[in-house]
Amino acid sequence: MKKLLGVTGCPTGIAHTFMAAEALKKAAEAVGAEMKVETNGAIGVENVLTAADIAEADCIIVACDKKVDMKRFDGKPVLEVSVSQGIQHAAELVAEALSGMVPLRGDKAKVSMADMFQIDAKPGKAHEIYKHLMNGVSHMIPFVVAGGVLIAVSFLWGIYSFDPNSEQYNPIAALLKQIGGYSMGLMVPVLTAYIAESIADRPGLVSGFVAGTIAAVTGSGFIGGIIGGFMAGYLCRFLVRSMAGLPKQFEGLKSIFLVPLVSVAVIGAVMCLLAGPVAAVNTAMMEFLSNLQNSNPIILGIVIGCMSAFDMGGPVNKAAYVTGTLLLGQGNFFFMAGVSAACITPPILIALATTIFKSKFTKDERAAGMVNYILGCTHITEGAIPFAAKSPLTVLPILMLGSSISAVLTYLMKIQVPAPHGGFLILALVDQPLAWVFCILMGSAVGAVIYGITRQKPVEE
Amino acid sequence: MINIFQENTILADLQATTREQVIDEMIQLLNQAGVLSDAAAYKKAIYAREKLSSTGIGFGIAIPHAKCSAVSEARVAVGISRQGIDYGDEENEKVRLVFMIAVGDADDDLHLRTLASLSRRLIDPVFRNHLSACCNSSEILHILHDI
Repeated sequence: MKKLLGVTGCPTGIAHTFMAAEALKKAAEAVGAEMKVETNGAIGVENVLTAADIAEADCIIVACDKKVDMKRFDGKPVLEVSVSQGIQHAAELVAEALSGMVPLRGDKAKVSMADMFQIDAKPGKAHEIYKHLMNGVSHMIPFVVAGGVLIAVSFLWGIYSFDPNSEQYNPIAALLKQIGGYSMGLMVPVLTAYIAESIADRPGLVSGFVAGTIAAVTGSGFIGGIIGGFMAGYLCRFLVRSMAGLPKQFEGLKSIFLVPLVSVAVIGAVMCLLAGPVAAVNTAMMEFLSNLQNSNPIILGIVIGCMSAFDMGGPVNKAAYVTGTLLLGQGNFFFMAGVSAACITPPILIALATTIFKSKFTKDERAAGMVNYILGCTHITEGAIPFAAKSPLTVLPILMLGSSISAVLTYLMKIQVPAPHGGFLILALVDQPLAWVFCILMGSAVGAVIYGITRQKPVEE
Repeated sequence: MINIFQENTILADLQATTREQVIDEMIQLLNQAGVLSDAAAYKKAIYAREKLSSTGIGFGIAIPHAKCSAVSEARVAVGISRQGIDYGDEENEKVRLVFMIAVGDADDDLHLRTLASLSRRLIDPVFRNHLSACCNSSEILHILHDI
């Protein structure tokens, strides 16, 4: 038997809450489904849904005009409607809930270990902005990975293999590079659109895509895209809210006509006006970074190394990683090499330490250390978190040192890594693969030795 | 059974034809019965709730309601309209049955539970038909006491 859950509630909580609950239950009964409904009424919350209920449920219908805890439903199919719709359209809602076509709620991205580390768990405005930005980034990354790897693969035929006038020309390589280019080309529009979507939900997508496209073609790049995404998101949210007073009959008109038209016109105009100045800032920043690469590879390496190892997958690490990714999109393959090296180092460092200094680690830790070889080789910095979490004050500086050494060496050797993720799996695409692995191992080994020496012997049980 | 329904707050022939009129008419009914300590404040609370979303729930029923300190005892006024009331809802369905709920801030769970069970019963079409078939207040009272 299908199992449905419901949540009902209205601001006063004395009538609609219970009618909606009853209507939904009756409708579910009528089609032979089991349904439990939580009522958020003036009496308090009754029939509270337990974690087990939620885990078993096929779908959850939230018919509520007041705020209820929605986070608990992340990853489940959730229908959200007003409480009066719950009363009047209970049968339709139940049918839709049972159809299996209800989208899952929330970001399906797994809870990263960084969440457990709680560096980015700070509430407030800054966290909000970070969340919006990361929504854009997490939607953008797959485009960059696919595009970046395809372009990198085309280089296997030679760096000019796409050029029909070159001796290296190969039609397959040209095709791959072209496809990769299209995927990369969507990078800024997708980033912008999903920043706006995070702020204003679906109404934000339209002006977000337009703003992102303008940013991409006018050269204001990802800086323009980020600015455009936030502007589009907040504008759409404002528009939707300010039109909330319109009669229900205009609901459809509002979402397919008014909000898109107004937001695209306004944001488009602003983006076009901003294009010149932002493009200048963008170019200046790119030049600054590539100059830094050439003139001060050591400083850049230390900064990148420390950022990458500081919170392993958290916001500081992501800032370095995203910058590298965006620079890839602009054709700078040097920067990413250092970032990747710095991200791969912490787990390798841990793994080496547990192998070399066996006696200083418990059996469980040695097993975790073995796993870190795999995590490190596949660019999953988070593997080092459990070790760092035990004594962050001593382990983090060691990890930062190791990552810095790897990054500095990578920049000194001017290694190019054209793909934004994949660890050693993309080794074939790296221009100096052996040198790159050497850089990473150097950083890891130095760190592993320091870590092993400073560590106390565990008290075996 | 607690007396949240009383014969003196049941009206089997509402005169009102619009939402504003029916709210006034029923507040007056509650006020005359001595249920309200401050009719103006109660009216304000009723409108505050209507503004959030109309309390017309379909099926020809509206439940304007408010929980505020201007209510001295919990009561549900019941009104039946013969000609139908334009409640300003999108489907333009005439409202024939109005329950106006008055609950004080300090009212205990028992009243709230009674209201909850009334609300649950109103979903049942048989129950609704019985109510709208009534001709006078004592018949309505009789049905409501079965909740």
